[in-house]
Amino acid sequence: MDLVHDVLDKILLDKREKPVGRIDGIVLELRDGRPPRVACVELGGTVLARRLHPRLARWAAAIRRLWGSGHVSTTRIPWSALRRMGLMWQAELDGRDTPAADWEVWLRDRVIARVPGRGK
Amino acid sequence: MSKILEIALGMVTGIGGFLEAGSIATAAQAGADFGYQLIWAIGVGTLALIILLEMSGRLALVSHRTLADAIRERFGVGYFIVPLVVGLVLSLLVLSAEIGGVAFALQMATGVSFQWWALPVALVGWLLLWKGTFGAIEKGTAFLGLVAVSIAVAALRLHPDWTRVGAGLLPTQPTHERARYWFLAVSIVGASISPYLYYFYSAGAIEDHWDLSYLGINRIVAALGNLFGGVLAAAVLVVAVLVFGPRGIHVERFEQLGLLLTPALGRWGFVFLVATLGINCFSATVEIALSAAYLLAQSFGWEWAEDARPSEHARFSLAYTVAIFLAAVPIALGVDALKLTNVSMALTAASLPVTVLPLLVLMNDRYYLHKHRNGWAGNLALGAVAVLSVVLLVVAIPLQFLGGG
Amino acid sequence: MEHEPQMRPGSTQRGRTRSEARVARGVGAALALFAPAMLTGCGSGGARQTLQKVASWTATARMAADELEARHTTPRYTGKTLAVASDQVASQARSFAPNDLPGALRAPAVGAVTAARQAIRDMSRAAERRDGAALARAAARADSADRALDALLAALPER
Repeated sequence: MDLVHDVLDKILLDKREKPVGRIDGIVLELRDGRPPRVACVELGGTVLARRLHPRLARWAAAIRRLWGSGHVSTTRIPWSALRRMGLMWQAELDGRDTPAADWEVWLRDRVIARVPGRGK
Repeated sequence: MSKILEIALGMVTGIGGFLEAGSIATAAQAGADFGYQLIWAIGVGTLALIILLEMSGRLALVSHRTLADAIRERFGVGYFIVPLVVGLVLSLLVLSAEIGGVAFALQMATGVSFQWWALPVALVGWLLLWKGTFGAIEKGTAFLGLVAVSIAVAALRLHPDWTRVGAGLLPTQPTHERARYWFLAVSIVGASISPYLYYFYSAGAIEDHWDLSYLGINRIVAALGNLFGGVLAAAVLVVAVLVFGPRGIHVERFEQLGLLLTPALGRWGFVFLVATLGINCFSATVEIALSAAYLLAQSFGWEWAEDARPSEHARFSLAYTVAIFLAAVPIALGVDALKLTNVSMALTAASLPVTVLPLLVLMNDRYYLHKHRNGWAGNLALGAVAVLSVVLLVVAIPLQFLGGG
Repeated sequence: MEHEPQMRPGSTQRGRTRSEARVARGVGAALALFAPAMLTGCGSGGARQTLQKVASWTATARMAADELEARHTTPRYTGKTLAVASDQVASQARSFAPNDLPGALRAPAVGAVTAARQAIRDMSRAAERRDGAALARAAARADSADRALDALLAALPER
């Protein structure tokens, strides 16, 4: 399997089949005398920024420090927990429990909750 | 039977959706300044749009990936950042122009200056997105947008010389103001082929749950709806030729458009023009705001669905909220809306390779389209559009300096 | 409602092209660079263009008055349109430089532009006051100014 083409940038679904986000990075484990293998995949703005440009990565990290309360911002999923679903991947977890949902939850609770008429 | 209704709806959406601030303004300017000579540009833009829509629709219903999804997944974020940023910036510019169109329609109707209308228009558009469903928005704006047919009626009543109209379908060299002629040609094509249209169309195929049985419908809707839309844009041009041409009026401000239909349709002409401008620009406003949100959500893998409650898709909902209010600001500040429209159309034309070239690759990708990949005819057509897009990229910006304004 | 994943048979994808990404980034940067300039900067000047614009706005003003009289449009719309016409012609008149015109046409050009500016200004004021008679009188003056401008434009040598 071609990691870059089959894993990177693909949508990750959770056990409810809702999107958690896109796989922004892959972490390889280097082993002596054996080919490297995938340890886990990563989702997150800082991971994405790192792929684009190192300066962007620094900005992304700075923004994270400003907004975040010091907890982990990157969602890491071990390779063994992933299974393929066609053009997407699925992990046995609830997306709402991951750091990937941080912004969504924050915006929902702090901003949208304040707007009148949230229902349809 | 319901498939026929779907086709009808799709066509109506295309008709109403084609005309918006850009296509109206550029067609009116072209007719006033160059007679029937630029009808071919409308034809080229319409044909290219039909090809792009059919293909992005086919991509979505076969692979269940929207165009934005597919570009990121196939080309990676390193490339994708370009269509993303370009798409967002241009969406905001065009969105401003559309809000300007609505604001001017309201100014014509009430006499209250267009600047005061910018934020109220954004607010109403936002409310519709916040509270409405995709289907309701699609159908509502489509049917109301049919008021644009009045322009075709006006064109017929003015008895144009049809041979001269037909001659305009072939490109000819202008006799004067060459730079402006080509600038308008580029802007007309940019007005016809805005990327937001095919981002929106492919997202719409997913929102409407199209599957493989919709392949034929996709073709018909893309072709017929936009064909009629192109005819309406040509009608604007024809009316401008017959109304503004003989009087020596060159269109420089939206206000002048109020006079477009009155010679042919009297009082109703004024009413229909104001309604057409207002309604069609308003539906474009809502669509572009949604399209920008789709683009962001699909880029980063957020959940997105217009039908869902805003609280369920916070980032997506906030995206269109920010887009629509941000875009209202230039109009509220009194930026020249016609100039903004011209510039945003030209920039749109210049930005096309960024999405068209990836589409050319995707439409041949077995992984996404299986046996529904492009055949030689499709590739020829899309290839021609790709060449056109590169030409536009090269000429659009110099032409803006030479012939714009 | 959410968008269901589709099962697709796996297959390898082709490679990404980094040079493609670089070219695209260049394009994006160029667009970003030029956009602000395009929004501000614009076309050329010249006496001929000024005359054309003044003639165009004069014709617009006349048409607006005619359509109001025929009760096709509203007084509010007409008032706004005439105000815009008046501003546009005033700004054209201010920057009018007849030096690139043939000598014999310079004085008549200035005269025609001035006449147009005054006529449209009066039309605009009459519309504000809803004074139909004054509007008609000013419109007649705009009419002759427009004719004078057309004659001048016709007399100019071909470009």
